[in-house]
Formats: sequence, structure tokens, C-alpha cells
Amino acid sequence: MTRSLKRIAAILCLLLPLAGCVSFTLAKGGESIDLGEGVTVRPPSDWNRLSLGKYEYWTLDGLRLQNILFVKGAEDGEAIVYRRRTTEDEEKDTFPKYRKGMTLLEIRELLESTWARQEFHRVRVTRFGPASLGGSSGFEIAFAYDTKDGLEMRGLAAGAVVGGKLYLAIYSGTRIHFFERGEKDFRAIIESYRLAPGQSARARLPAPGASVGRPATIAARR
Amino acid sequence: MDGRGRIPGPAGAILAVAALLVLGACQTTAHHTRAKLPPEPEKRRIVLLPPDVELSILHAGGGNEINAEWTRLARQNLSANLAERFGRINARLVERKASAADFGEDAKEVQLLKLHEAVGASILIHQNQGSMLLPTKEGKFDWSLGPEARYLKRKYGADYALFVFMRDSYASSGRVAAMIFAAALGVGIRGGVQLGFSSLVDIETGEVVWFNHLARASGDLRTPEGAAETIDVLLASFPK
Amino acid sequence: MIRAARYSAALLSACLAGGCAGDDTSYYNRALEKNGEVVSQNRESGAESTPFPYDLADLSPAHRPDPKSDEAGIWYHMEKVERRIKTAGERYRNREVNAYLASVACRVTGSYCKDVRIYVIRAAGMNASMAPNGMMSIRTGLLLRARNEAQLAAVIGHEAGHYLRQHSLQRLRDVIDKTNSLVFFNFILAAAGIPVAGDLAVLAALGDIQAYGRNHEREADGYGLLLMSRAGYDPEEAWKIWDLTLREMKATKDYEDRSQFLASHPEPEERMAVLRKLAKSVKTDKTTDIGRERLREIVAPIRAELIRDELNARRFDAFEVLLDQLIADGDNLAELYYFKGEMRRLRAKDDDLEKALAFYAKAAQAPGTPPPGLKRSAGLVQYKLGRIDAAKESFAAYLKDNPQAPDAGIVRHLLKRPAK
Repeated sequence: MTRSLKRIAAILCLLLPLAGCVSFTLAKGGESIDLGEGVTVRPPSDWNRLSLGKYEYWTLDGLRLQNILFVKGAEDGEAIVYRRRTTEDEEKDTFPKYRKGMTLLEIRELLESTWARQEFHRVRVTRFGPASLGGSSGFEIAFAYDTKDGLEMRGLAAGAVVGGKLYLAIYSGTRIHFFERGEKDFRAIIESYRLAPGQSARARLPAPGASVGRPATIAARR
Repeated sequence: MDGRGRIPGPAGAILAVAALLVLGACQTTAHHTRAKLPPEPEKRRIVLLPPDVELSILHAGGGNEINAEWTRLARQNLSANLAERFGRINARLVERKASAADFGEDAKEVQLLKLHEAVGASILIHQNQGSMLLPTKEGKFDWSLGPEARYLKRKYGADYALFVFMRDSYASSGRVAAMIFAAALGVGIRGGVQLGFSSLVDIETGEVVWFNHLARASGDLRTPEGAAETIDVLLASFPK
Repeated sequence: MIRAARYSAALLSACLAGGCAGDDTSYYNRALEKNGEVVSQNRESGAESTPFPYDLADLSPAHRPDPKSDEAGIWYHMEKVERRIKTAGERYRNREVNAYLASVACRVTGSYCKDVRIYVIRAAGMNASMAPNGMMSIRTGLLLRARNEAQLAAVIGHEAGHYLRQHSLQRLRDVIDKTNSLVFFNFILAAAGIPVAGDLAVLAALGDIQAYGRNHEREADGYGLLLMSRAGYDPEEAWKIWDLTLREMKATKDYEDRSQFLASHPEPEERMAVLRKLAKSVKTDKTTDIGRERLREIVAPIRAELIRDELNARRFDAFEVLLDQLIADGDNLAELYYFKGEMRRLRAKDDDLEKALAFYAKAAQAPGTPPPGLKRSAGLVQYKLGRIDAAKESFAAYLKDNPQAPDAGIVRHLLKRPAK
């Protein structure tokens, strides 16, 4: 089996459960949506949800056009994308993993190397700074990339480490039209993002005396 | 393929799942938001973006390849048929000669073409039967390339852009696929397989005003008559 | 139906490569012995260098197949692929690099220069492939592994050898079978939102699979030597690039990779030995160009990002072999020691973190210019080792040198952690 076919087969097998058993459900605009793992958000308008346990995809028009990936608490040794457990050693060894104790600088590296591994090309980070997510101190990152096919994309992400676990919300969409279509909603979703009290209590609060000023929230940016 | 015609291994799984994902029980499914084009002739100009068409054949000597001559013929037949058809509904096919975009030099057009492909794929997967339906699009057909599509309007002096994508096979590789499609469709297929989609985009607004996809076991693009028949099917319920 | 079965078997079988004729090392000499003449020179005697009597008339320049022919279909298919490659995401658009590689390829392919088009693909690993319509793809990883322009020419000449001997056509029929199905179903895969779909899978197929038999590889090696010598390059450089590849392969624990490569290529040791021997017989006093400086100049400004690509592949042991070779070459040692440190920081096993710090310190003292992230990486490691004061110092130094860095905000945030 050639490597390309093998890869395609692996990815297709990955999607098999989606094709057969999983479908999109409606996330109603204006309502508080419980994503599980303690995460709730409130989208301003209707979105389509595809939940895969700890990972969840939202889209308006289709995953290839724009999507939000929610990572709800990746633990030490876990990757930040949904993958079916595979026996291929190659996959195991080379997919970047989140490690407990990672600083935000390393989390940025984790994102970039995951994107490289997913064959995002010409990845450019245009903004990377401290921000808060769900009341916890974290980061926000703005980026752009090309798909393998050369379709230009834009992205926006927010994340935080809470209780040793990594929470992410990564939005990306085509530079032409589809990124814009969901951008406002994404910012509102980030502002509405809440982690259940149980999780927050274990949050790593900023140390006494540590001040970053008022952390910028994504919602505040235009 | 073993004696019983089953394809072993992951390749078989790919084909099976692919078939299940895209092909419903129907052979064609047309969507449109507009049954009619505007009445004014100067608003009925249609540019045909590079049709992505491929015809392939298995020779007796073994080995499958794209047949360049047939593909060339198919494209010719397609263009001729469309010009004539549009003439009948008083629309005009705008000629698009080889463009800088074909050589990757018109970056804007290239991006729009790639975007359209992604939109077409999304329509196929999300708008038809199957488990990938999007609840927010239930009962609606709401797809657009966005206002940047206006670039094509300026470039070609047209009001609409027609995209055609076709894969057509007449022999064994098609039979290989067809065996799987047959299983998915519950149909016995002997000949080749024809697979394609076509969309009409209002390049003032970017809106996809008409979309059709085609998957069937017959059809022959190599002759003018065959092309006419295929286009009849592909362009079913095309706006008048 | 037997044909169909065989075609399908070829499509699905794990072994697309593998020549049928068995292993035959005389294939190396084929290039040299065309028309019954073996080219030999006597350098010591200062004899007049003879023009090479080999005959490359198998494929005349500007060859265009008859549209009705079987070959035309393949050509058409490759043209479609090429159109996609032009605007593909993974294409490396750096003008200088593209122009440079095109000029080297032109020199190597001589009268076939106009037939050949180079596409540079941004990817780790050393890979080049050539399609029967003259489209050549070269991975940026090759630029790190060629020690000089002559070695680059050897690889390009090797690929051109496949093209000139129409190995591609012979094998590509099988590859097209498979990729035609890929392209055929690419449309469906695309609909399913599978990201790897696209005609690039075709070129990936061509590159990864090395869809030539071992004898074809040997023949291409021979032609590579001839072409590079004809262009004035020193043929004694050719075997060296295989030496590095072999050392990298030996360091890697990925057995599957290794065996897949060996299924379609002769053992690197064999190639090295034969290339060394044959080089002596084609070398003349006119074939002395090595071109170390020219390559070095092209690579220097982009080397850090290429090394980062290799590091991201996370094959740490092979990576170290490559890095050590670059260190032996001696260019911009500060940058290289920085990456020695980065590798350990990312691997983070046993005493890697301590070793990383040592390398960062070495980089700070070494000749050359380290990348701007040196102090930041040092600070990060110190932070992880609990040496908060040292970390703060490193971060402060980083901020001083890079006040406008995109991550300055985050680094300042880290600076404010309390001292332990």
C-alpha cells in the first residue's frame, strides 16, 4: 500500500464513524450550549455542531469553509486534534502532544507544529498575546495559512491552561468570505465561554503581584 | 480484485465510503434559488470557467490512462453544446480564452476557483442525503462565494459564471468503481461511471444560484450527441 | 479480466517498485557504455579530454507526444497536476532559490534545459522527483543535505536520467493507474472534507514511492554522473550525498521507512561504492567545479527555517546526524548550536534540558549569528528547571534585543512570575 493511499485510507477510516453514526446537531443562537467537560458557550446565532468527545467542531457552511475547533481539556500526552486511536507507530511518535507544565510559548509551538503536521502551509502568526478565556489567564493568537491545495485561510484562536489541562477554541475560515462570515460570532462565543466552577477552582490564578494590566479579550478587538 | 470482484484492503474501503458519502439513491439532484435569469439580455451573459473534465479508458493492452484526445473532444462538445443551449434561452456564452489564471498568474481568480471547488465539495457533502446534513441549512439552499466574486464580472464582462466538473470513465477502472457504486446503489452496473457537478454563480453577489450533481452509470462525452445528452442531464432545471 | 485483475493488483499491492529483471549492477555502466564505448580518461598523463560518446538521443529535446497516443494521456494528466502544483500551498515561492535551482538544472540538463521545469516544495527530507513531461519537484530538505552545488547537480542529474531514459513512462503507467483513481475519487474525497485530497497526492505519490525499479535507479545514477560531468561538475562529489543519507537512515529507528526506501533503491553502500569508482573514469581536468560558496550563499538566509522544518518532523536521531554534518561544514555555528539546544529542549528526555542550556551558551559564544529566539529558548529552559532568576535575565535580554517581537507580551507575562 503506497504511503499516500495509506494516509488517505487512515483518514477515511477516521471519518467512517462520522459518516455512519455521527451527525451535526443544532447549536441554537442565543442559548447557552453545554459542550461537556465543563465548558459552556452562548453563540449569537445558529451554528452546526459535531461533537467528538473532548473535541468538537462547529461550522456554519461546512468544515472546509470555516470551522471552530473546541478542545475541552487536553491532558498531558494528548494531541490537540481529534484522532482515532491508531496502531501506526508513525502517527504516535510524530504527532505533537500537550505536556502539563507547558508555558504559553510552548503552547504556541504546539499549535504551530500541529498545524505543520496537518499540512497547513505558509503558517504566519500575526498576533500572539495574553488574553483571558473563561475567566482564566491565557492567550489569543491570530494567524493565516494556505491549505495543501493553496486555498488561503485566516484563523483566530484563544486558549488557557486550567487545572493542568489545555482548553482551546480555534477558528479558521477561507480568507475570501467564509472567515468573515463567522468572525463576529466567534468573538462573542469566546466572550461567553465559561468553565464550570469545579474546573475554575483549580485554575492557576495569576501569582500575587503579577499583573498584565487588563488582559485583552478577543471580543474587545475589532 | 479477487475472483468474486471484491476489492481488498483500504482502497476498497475508500471507494465504499466515498460512494456512501456522496451518492444517494438519486442519480441527480438539482438545487436552485432562482428558476429564472433576469429578463434583460445584457444581464444574461454567462462565462464558462475552465471545465474540469477528464475521460479515461482501459486499453486492451492493459493499464489505465486519461485519454487526451477524448478529453479534448469532450471539452469541445461541452462548449459547443452550451453555446447552443444558451442561445436557445437567449443567454450568451462568454468566451473565456486561456487566461493568466490557467498559469497561476492571476492570483485572485485562482483563489476564487479554489474557493468554488471547496464550496462545491461542501454542497455535495452537506446538502444531499446522508448524515452530514447541516441543520442550519435545512430546507434552504444558501451558498455563496461572497462579493469578491465581482472580480470575475469585471474581468469577463459576464453576469454569471458556470463551473463544470466531470469525471467520466469507460472501462475497468470505472468498472472497479462501479462495482462499489453498484453495491451502494443496489444497482447492477456494467459500463463506465459518470460523476460530476455543475454550478451557476451570480458573480455580482457571489451567490450560487443553481447547483446540480450527477452520478450515473451511463453517458458518453466523446460524441456531440453523447455530450448533449450528458449536459441535458447535468443542466436539468437550469434557470431559464 | 485478467488484465483488470492485474491492474487492480498493481494498484493495491504494497510493492509498486521493484524491477522485474532482478538486480544488475551493470546498469550503472549503461550510461557510460552507450554505443559500445566506455569513456575513460587518464588525468595524470594530461591527455586531451575526449567528448563523451554516449548517446542521449533516446529522447530528443522538446518532445511532444502525439495527442492520440497513450503517452499523451499521461502527459495531459501530468499537466493537470502541474497546474495544481503552480498554486499549491506547499510550493516554496522564494525567488532566489527557485531561480538558482532552475539555473543549476538548466546547466545539468544541457540541451534539454527548455524541457525541464523546477518546482520547489517546502518540506523536510531529501527528495526530488521528475515526471515524464519534464516537471521536476525538489524538496527544500535537499538544500540542507547537499554540501555543495556539485552534489545538488548529482541529484538533479539523477532525476533527469529517469526522464531522459523514459523510466517514468515505463513506471508511470502503473502510477497513473493508482493516481488516476485518486484523482477520480479526489472529487469524492474532497466532498467528504478529507484534507489530503488533491492532485498533489499524485506528486506525493511520485516522490514518496520512488516508483522505479532498482535497475532504473542504477541507470539514473550513471546518467547523473555523466550529466554532471558534462556540465563541468566534479563527479567525485556524487557519492557523498548518499553517504549522508545512509548515516541519517542508520540513526533512525523507523524501520518501516528504511525498508520502504530499500525496496525501490539499491543499498546506499552499493551506490556509494559504484559511484566512487565510476567517477574516476568520467572525471577530466574540465570537471572540477564544486560550487560550495554558491550554494552556501543561497542557503544561508533560509537555513534556519529549513532546519526548523527538519526539527518539526521530530526524527531526533537522524536530525542530529544532519546537524553534526552542518557543524562539520562550519557555517554560522551559532545558529547550529542553537538548534542542537532546540532539539534537546523539544525532546526533553533525561538530562536533555541541562544539555540544551549548555548548547545555548555555546551558541552565544560561537561565531555567526544565532536566531533571535536564542535568549527566549534559554529562558524557557531555565524556567522549566526552576531557575527563575536566570530565566528572568534571559527573557529580559530577549525583550531588549527584540522589543517588537510578536510574543513580547507573553514573555513579559512570564517575566512577572514570582521568584521561587
